[in-house]
Amino acid sequence: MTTDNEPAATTDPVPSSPPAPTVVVTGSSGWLGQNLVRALVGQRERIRCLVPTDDQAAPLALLSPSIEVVVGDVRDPVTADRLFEGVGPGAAVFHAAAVIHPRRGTREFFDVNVGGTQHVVDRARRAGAARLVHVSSNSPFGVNPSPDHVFTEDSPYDPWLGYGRSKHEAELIVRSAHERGDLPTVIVRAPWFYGPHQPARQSQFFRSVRRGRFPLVGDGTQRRSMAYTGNLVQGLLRAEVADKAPGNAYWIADERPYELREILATVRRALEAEGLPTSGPQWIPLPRLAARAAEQADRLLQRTGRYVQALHVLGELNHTIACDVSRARDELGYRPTVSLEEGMRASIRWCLEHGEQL
Amino acid sequence: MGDLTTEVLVIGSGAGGAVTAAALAEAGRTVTVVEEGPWVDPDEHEPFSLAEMVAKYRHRGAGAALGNPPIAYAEGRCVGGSTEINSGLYHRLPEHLAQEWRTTYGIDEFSPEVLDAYADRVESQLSVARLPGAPPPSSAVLERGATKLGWRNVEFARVFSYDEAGRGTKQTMSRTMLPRARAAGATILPDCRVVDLVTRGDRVVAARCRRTHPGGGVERLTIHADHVFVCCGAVHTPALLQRSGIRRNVGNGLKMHPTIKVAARFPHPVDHGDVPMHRVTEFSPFIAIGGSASRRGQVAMALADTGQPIDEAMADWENISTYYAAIRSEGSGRVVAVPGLRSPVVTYSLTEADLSRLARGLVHLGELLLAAGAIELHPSVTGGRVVRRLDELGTWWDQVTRSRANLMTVHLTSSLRMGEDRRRTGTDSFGRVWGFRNLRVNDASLLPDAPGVNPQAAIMAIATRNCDHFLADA
Amino acid sequence: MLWFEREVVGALTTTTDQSIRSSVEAFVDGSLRDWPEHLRLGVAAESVLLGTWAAVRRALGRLPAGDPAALRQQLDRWEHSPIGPVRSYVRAMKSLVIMAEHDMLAKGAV
Repeated sequence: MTTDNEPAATTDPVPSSPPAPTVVVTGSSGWLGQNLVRALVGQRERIRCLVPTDDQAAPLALLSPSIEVVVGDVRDPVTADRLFEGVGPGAAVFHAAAVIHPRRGTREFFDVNVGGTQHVVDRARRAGAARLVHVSSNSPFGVNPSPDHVFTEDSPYDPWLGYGRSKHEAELIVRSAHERGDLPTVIVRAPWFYGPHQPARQSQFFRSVRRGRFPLVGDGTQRRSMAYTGNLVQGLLRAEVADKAPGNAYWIADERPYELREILATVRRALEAEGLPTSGPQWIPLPRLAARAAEQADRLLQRTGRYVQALHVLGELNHTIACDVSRARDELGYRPTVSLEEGMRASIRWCLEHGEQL
Repeated sequence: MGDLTTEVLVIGSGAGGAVTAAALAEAGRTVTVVEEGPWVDPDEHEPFSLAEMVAKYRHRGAGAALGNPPIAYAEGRCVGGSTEINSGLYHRLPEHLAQEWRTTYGIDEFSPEVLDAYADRVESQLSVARLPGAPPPSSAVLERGATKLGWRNVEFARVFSYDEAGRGTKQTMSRTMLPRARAAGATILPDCRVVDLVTRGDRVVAARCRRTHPGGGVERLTIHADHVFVCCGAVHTPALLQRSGIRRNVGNGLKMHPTIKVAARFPHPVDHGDVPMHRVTEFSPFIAIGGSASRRGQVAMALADTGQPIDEAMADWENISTYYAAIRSEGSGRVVAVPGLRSPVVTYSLTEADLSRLARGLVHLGELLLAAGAIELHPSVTGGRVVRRLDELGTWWDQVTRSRANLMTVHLTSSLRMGEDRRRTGTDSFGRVWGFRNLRVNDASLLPDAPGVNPQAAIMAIATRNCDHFLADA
Repeated sequence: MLWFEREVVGALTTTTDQSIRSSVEAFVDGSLRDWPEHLRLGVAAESVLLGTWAAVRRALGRLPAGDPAALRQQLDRWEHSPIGPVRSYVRAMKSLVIMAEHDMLAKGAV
């Protein structure tokens, strides 16, 4: 049994190099970033963190004297310069800054996910970084063609809407940097993740599942790969050091995909186990038609540059989005050790410790 | 009312039409070229001057694709077409595009090797060369800035030939392919506009024209031909076909290289005669960065694009040069010939991803120019910030919006597209219009997408290839 | 060329050189004639609308009559209008005038 935030020791190590003493992390104040930074603290000499606003700087800086915070917009050339200022050659860069649910419309996807990635890749090259690990997503690959299909590293691109197209283009930039010999890069593709340091929308998820109000589309046999933050952080850190990684992309997720109905049932069990009695039915059944309508509406709105989070999430719930982590196991020595129930319990505990009402 | 009979009628005398006329005339065919525009002596006007715009450009240089935002464009309208007014920059079709287009559109005999062989042939007939000496300051800016940032940049070749003194002459169609065509017996009729094509079943039987005489009179002319090649460019080829009742996959899928600009002020004078030949290729295939014509008139227009007064900056105009970032866009457009209107209506629709790409290109362009020593940057954005320091560049991201971006393009392509996939294309792999046995297109409309580089080279190579196919066939 | 277009060109042309001013007006006139019909019609319609609006404002004393500088300022405001076609109108007229005027000034200077 592993604790929430420490990366699991691999039982079958693959050839790797020592981790870099200096690390640059973008998206440090985000859900994944917070977990990653905490895993790095105590392990690295210098951790240079990018956050978008001043109020997010102090909590991070307080974590450790090894943390240096840079506040700025990842699209801004000067922010990118400052992020790498005084970072000598040989640093490891983890690029997690991205917009998943934009507040002002689909333009943000491209400005941040593509524009920001380009600046970070460019500065990492100039700084002589040893490796850039880029956090990508399942969205450049769309949805699985059938419920028992899993995405592998050979699956073709099939971007899903605005976010998918932006993450696709970001991957092309990251791959090109490697192929042109500018910078060794690794792409980590993470699906729906869960774990501590989650944003408010995730608390809403727990609240609605607890009361039996979360919708289950169709029969709930659609499968979704999920990644516990601890597993995901382990995957990122393995991608940083494994000798085989540069030039490749890896799916990083929990050991296996879960059926949606299994996810909801497990979350309810986890809530009960953490002392939060559940009520109502397991879920609200929602016909596939409703989810398809939401997806259509999402498509149409995005074509006009608008984004409505609820429609997007509901539309995706109709589909299987599942991946196979075998290659990460083989080449990175990745071992997802936290199970869904354990991970959900850890998330719930984190929420309660931070005063969230679930 | 006149009548003329010929074997091959070529409509349009630009990069596509001139190559077609020369290839077919030299193969022994009887070729007549009709050109809507006038013959203009290539030495008569200074390149990019007002006088040249009046003489050689369609609408005196004013064209606009309607949309949000609208996109300004210009086309040549003269013997030699747009080759008489362009920068002459020459770049073969990138290999990855040849592969991609071949697969996506089902284009036969379209491998990089095949296209390279045709490009070799074209290049042996023109003169394609880099500058013999050092690049002018306006171009050196691009090299200097890119090198400082570690960005890939390259000096493009141009269709120029140089004399012993190092003076260059642009190898336009009126200087190269059209004289060859004439020497091989082709007839060229300027000031002759094709109104429509007369079709019977699967054949075109005639072209109905209006020919303007030097005195001013307009004569109706009907040209009967065994074969017709339409080479009027990505706007006027589909317009003519539509006027003639040919509509399937004609006019949709228009592509441009939407472009955003910066007028950059330097602490030293720069040259204003030539378009820079350096291009920054760091952000290929999505964004290309280069320089534009920067005569006094262009500099003034570029400065005015922020919507601010230009007098102060214009006092220093000799230190100012204009540069651009051009994108390959997700979005596309349409050409629609409207009955009763002489000019087609052109529309273009940009996606949010395109707007973002333009903003990104503008920011990178700004980084480059500051690195090259520019002291003031005026973006082509209404209300756009005049930037003097790197830390001001970030403001441009949110300023590049549909309502404020002032965009243009110099390239227009893809309004028909070639390939065996009939759902996507207006012609087969060799430019034969679907449904017709003797009607072909041989110009920029055939390119399945905007190539991300100046399209002239690709157009000429493809046109030569299509002529070979025609000659083997007919 | 419509009356308001003549006024606009006059207001936008900055040089005091009369021969250049006439040439600029002639260039704009020729250009507008040469434009694609739908664009020309669009500009003409706006010239009528904006010209009428300006005339009304003058009648109300809100816009000084016979004052090219005041018209110039109004045009500058319209260039930042939230209405797309209004912005495009000003930009189109400005482009024509600026290109012509500065090209002619360059020729004159040589």
